[in-house]
This record gives sequence, C-alpha cells and structure tokens, in this order.
Amino acid sequence: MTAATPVLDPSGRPDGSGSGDRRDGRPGTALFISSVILLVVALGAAGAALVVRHDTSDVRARAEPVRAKVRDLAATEEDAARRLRLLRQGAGATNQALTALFAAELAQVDASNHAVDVANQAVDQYNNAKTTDLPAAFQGAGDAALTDLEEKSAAVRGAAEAAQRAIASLQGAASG
Amino acid sequence: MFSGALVLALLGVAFLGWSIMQHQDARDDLTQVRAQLATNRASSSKEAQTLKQVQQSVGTVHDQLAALDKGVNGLADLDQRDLETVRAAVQAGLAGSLTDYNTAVDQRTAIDPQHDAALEQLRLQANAVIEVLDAIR
Repeated sequence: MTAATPVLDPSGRPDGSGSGDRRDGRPGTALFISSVILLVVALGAAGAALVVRHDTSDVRARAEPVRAKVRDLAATEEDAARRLRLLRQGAGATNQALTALFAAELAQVDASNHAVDVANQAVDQYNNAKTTDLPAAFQGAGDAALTDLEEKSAAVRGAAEAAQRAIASLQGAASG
Repeated sequence: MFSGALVLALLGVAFLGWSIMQHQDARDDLTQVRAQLATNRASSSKEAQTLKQVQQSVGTVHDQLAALDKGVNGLADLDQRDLETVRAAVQAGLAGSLTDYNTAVDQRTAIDPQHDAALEQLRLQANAVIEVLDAIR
C-alpha cells in the first residue's frame, strides 16, 4: 500500500519574485530619484552658468582697454590726417603765392622799364630839338605809363603780403 | 515635485545656454576689437610717419622760409623806391627840370643792381622752397 502523494495547490504556490508588496513603491521612487537628478542638473547648470558669466565679465573687462586704445589711435590718426592736410594746403598755397609774387614782380619790372622808356623818349625829343618845351614833351607821355607802374607796384605789394601770409600759415602748420 | 524639478532643470540649462552665448559674443567682440587695434596701429603709424616726413621737409626749408619773408619785404621796398624815382623823373620832366630828371634817373639806375640782386636771391630761395614744397603736395 502506498501513501498518497500530496499535491500542492497551484494557487498556493509562493511568488518566485518574492516581492509582492514592493512593486507598488517603484514609480514613486523613480520619480523621486529623477527629481533629485533634475535638481542636481539644475543646480549644476546654474553653477556652470555663473562661472561662465564671471568669465564673460573678465573678457569684457579685457576688451575695454583695447577699445580705449582703438579710440585713442583713431583720434591720433584723425589729428595726424588733419595736420597733414593743413601742411599740404599750406605748401600749395605758399607755392601759388610765390609764383604769383614773381609774376607780379616781372610785370612791375616791365612797367617800370616802360615808364622809363617813355620818359627817355620824351627827353630824346627835347634833346633832338624836336620840341623846345620839355614839359610839353612829357605831357601825356608819362601819365599812362606811370599809372600802369603804380598799379603794378600795388599788385606786387598785394602779392608780397599774400606770400607772407602763406609763409606764416605754413610755418604755423608745421610747428602746431 | 518632479515637475518643479524639471522646470528648474530646464531653466538652469537655458540660463547656462544663454550665458555661454553671451560669453561667445564677448570673445568675438574682443577678437574684433584686437583686430581693429592692429589695423589702426598699422594705418596710424603710416599716417604719423608721413606727417613726420612732411614736418621734416618743411623744417628743412624753415630758414629759407624766414629768409623769404624778409626778402619779400625787401623787394617790395625796392619796388616802391623804383616807383618813387620813376615818378620823380616824370614829374621833373613835366616841371621842365632836366637836372631833377637826370638826378631821378641816376637814383633809379643806382637802385637797379640792388633790385636785381634782391630779385635773384629771392628767386633762388623761392625755387628751393617751391621744389621742397612741391614734393609735399
């Protein structure tokens, strides 16, 4: 006679995993851990951002003196260009004034020689007895030539003053 | 709690991204300003060098310019004396005085060499100055 083999009720079989009541806590823990991670990420990002911003301030601080140098150089360059322009203008004006002075001087010399020629002709007429009256020989002969000479002499004075002004201006630009 | 942490994380990352962008902008700006400084230095030194050369050129004729200034005055004075003697000669002729005429003519003749010498000296000085100043223009 054999003893009856006991049969286990499948419904009474124990759970292989052995965690029957722990399964309910999993999502909460995951969320908690995720939240902590996210908070750490937030803090880390904020910290890193602060470090970056500090470095940005350093970079900006380094750029400022360079910018000031650029401004200084631009101002210096502008001043140099202005002085150069003045010197070139002064040189041109002096050359023109000197050229004009010599043209006026030549005209004055010609007018002076012409006036003397006219006077000499009048005297020659008198000497050659073409006329016995010296004042009559000079009448009308010297007036135009003398007027012309006066005008040319005045022109030389004007040109001389212009040349002196140009020279003074050039010297001022060179020393200023 | 998760949502709040997520929002904070997103804000943190956005803040970091924005800070990095600003940093990059600042670096770009620094690079640009440095490049501009180098360019300005090169052009400024060129301009300053040209100015120095021109100033030296004008400096070399400084004495001649001062002499020209005096020479111009001297020549204008001689021209004035020339005019006065010619006027005196014509007036003497109109007055019928041959003696005064001859005196005036002699005076003018005496001025001539002085006038010619002054004119020639001024011409030489002016030419030297014009030559130098022409190179500046």
